[in-house]
Amino acid sequence: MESDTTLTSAETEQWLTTPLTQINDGQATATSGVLASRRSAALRRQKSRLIGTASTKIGASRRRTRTPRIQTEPETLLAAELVNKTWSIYKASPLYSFSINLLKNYSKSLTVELEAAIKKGVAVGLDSETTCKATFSVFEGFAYDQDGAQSVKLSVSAKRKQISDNEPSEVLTLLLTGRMNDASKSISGSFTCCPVMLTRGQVMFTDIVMAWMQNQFDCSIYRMSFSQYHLAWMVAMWAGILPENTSPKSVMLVYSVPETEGVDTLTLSINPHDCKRLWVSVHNADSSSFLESEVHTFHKSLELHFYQHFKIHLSCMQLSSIGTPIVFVSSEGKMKMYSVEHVDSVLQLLVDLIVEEYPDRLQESL
Amino acid sequence: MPYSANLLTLMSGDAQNVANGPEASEDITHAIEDLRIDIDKQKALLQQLHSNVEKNFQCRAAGSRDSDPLVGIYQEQDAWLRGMIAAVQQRGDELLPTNHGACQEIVCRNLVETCKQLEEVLAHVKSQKQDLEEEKKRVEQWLLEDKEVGRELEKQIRLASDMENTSKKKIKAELGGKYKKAHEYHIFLMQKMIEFVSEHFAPPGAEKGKQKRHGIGALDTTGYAHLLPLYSFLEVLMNRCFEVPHDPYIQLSEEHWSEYVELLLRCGIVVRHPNDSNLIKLVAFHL
Amino acid sequence: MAEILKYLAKLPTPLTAVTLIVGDEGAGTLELANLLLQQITDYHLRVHTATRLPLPEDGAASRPNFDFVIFLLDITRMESFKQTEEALQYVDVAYFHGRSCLIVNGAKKPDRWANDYSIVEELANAYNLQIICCQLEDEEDGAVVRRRLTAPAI
Repeated sequence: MESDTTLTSAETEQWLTTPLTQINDGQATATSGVLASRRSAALRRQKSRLIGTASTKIGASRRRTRTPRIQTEPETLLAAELVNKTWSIYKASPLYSFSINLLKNYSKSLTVELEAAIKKGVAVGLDSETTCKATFSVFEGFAYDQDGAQSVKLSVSAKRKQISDNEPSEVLTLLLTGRMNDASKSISGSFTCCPVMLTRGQVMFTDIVMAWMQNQFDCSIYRMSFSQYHLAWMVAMWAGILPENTSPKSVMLVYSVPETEGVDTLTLSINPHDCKRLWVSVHNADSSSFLESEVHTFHKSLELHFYQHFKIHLSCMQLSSIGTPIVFVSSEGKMKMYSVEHVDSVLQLLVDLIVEEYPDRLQESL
Repeated sequence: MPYSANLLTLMSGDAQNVANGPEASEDITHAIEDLRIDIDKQKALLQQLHSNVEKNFQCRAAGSRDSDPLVGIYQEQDAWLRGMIAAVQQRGDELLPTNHGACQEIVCRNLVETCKQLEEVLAHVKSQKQDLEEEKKRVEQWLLEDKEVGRELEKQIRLASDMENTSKKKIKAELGGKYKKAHEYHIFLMQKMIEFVSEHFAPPGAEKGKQKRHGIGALDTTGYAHLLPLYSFLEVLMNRCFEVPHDPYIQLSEEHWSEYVELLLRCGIVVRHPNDSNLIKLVAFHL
Repeated sequence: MAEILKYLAKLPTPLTAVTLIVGDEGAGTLELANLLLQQITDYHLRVHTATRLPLPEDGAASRPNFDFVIFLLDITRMESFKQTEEALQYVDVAYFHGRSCLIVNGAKKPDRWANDYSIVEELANAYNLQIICCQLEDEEDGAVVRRRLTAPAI
């Protein structure tokens, strides 16, 4: 437990906060630079408690081995768990009576549910010899305001009973984030708003877990899909952000070609430095908000350039996925983040997109 | 200008209608001629206006980049409305042709058509009304039947609840009485049995009138004082039979006089356990 | 000035409604034209289609006066939106006084929209156009659109 106390002392250092991304009526605030979060005392206490109790489960064991490094950069470590993996994005309506204190109970209940499902034979590829364990834990790193709202991570691991020394393999990781603390104060106090859910793992487990969550918390969870409009925004906003350490990936735009034989998609790759120059010339460097006109100009210039060389009108085709130096997003709701510093801005954008779709009364209270 | 175009259309339409009518009397043909002349006049007027418009009015594109298109649109609307007002005020209402005969013909035709349509409507409504009446009758019938059923059910419920209330007490009393009687009879039978048994099958060493129960402490095998009298033996057997029906066996011990056991065995009242000869049980010898 | 589609360049044809559908290729102009022609009306209906305005000078002589202009927009493609915006510049003011409307195709697939609906609405309001949203591939939608366009004004 001593390592835990060093952890909590590290958190007391003061970090800067920078404005997070927000979309309001066609304007967006872009982040630049390192992001951080403030911790509250309650969070610190809970974290140490959870790490102490979750000693046999995989998530915590990872943290334990890395604690010597935590003193320097806690956020990048935890955000690093999100980076360089493909996540499927789901959107969740507010959860009813979800409490961070009851995570253990939820773990147990979900484990029972998973075992039942396996016994029933619902799980494909797993026989009844496999045991599953579900673990809910608090995933720090994404606090949005002073009270330090936490995100919750669920990891489901499965292992075969007979092979005793077989390590349990993680079959599903699910992250429930974007929790906005204000919501719990204004909407009747018993609702928790965690709009963004990221999953990674086998589909069958995802389905079981989501059905359980919908039953347990009386919410609805759907696959998130991005329209061309949102993808265009994302490209314009993030194409100019080049992460410093690694060599940046090229900016990619994938279009789906309508009704032509033999050609399904058209991929446009642009050198990120050129993109950055275009971005700088389009964007008004003084203002911190990103305007719709700038998005249009950005795209128009790209399309014109393409037309001049290839005589193809890009605007006739559907934009199906985009890749920027910091993130790759497809219209079906799959996302892969490359840069640790910008994880927060990406997530904030997702939160905003989902909250936009909430009914107006709910939006006003958020 | 569009107003005059509409008027022209109407008039030519009317002329067509009238001309196509089956009854083309003299009056009508004159009317048609008059109408034709009118049409030609209007056409000429229209052409004049049109050339006027082409000369003087220039069309404007609504979407010019420097001004809001809505401004232009609203101005146009404004001008159009004013023109309409002026035209209507000037013209009065002169839609129908002035010729009396043509007018009459048109009015008659319109009336006839209207009458036909109304008759159709009437027929339709009548049939609907009939359907509804039948439906209503059926539903009333159902209602009556349902009410009957309801009444019967209520009666049944009342009877059942009455029976419940009264019979509970009766049955209780009855049962209580029966139980009492049975208990008394049982006691009586037992008494009789005890008397009979102790009279005819007295244990050895026991004098008549002196029934001594065997105590647990002293087990005196030499004397006959330790023996269970037959009636207790029988009682034990009977009790065992009812209390533990799956294992109605009694372990034989020193208390049980072997003669008694022999007697009971020979009469067929008891029977030994097939595996263990020390166990005996009561059998239904009366069957 | 000759480029602008002028209302009443010629006398209107009696008992006929001449319609012009302006829409980008692939926005569904042909489908809409066929739909309109299926409608039974008291008057004759003629439908012309064009992909962009201004109309070419060649056929100007044989062209009748257009009574109604329909702007067809496919919301799943940016190109369609741009073309419509441009086309709106070349139309006489008189047409916006109840003689034109905007039909938005592709309304039932919001995950494929290339533009926010509010932008389309802004465009329509700027020109005082009525919007009809539909998915022309669906038969029901098509029938509704047809009836709305050809319904006699009360």
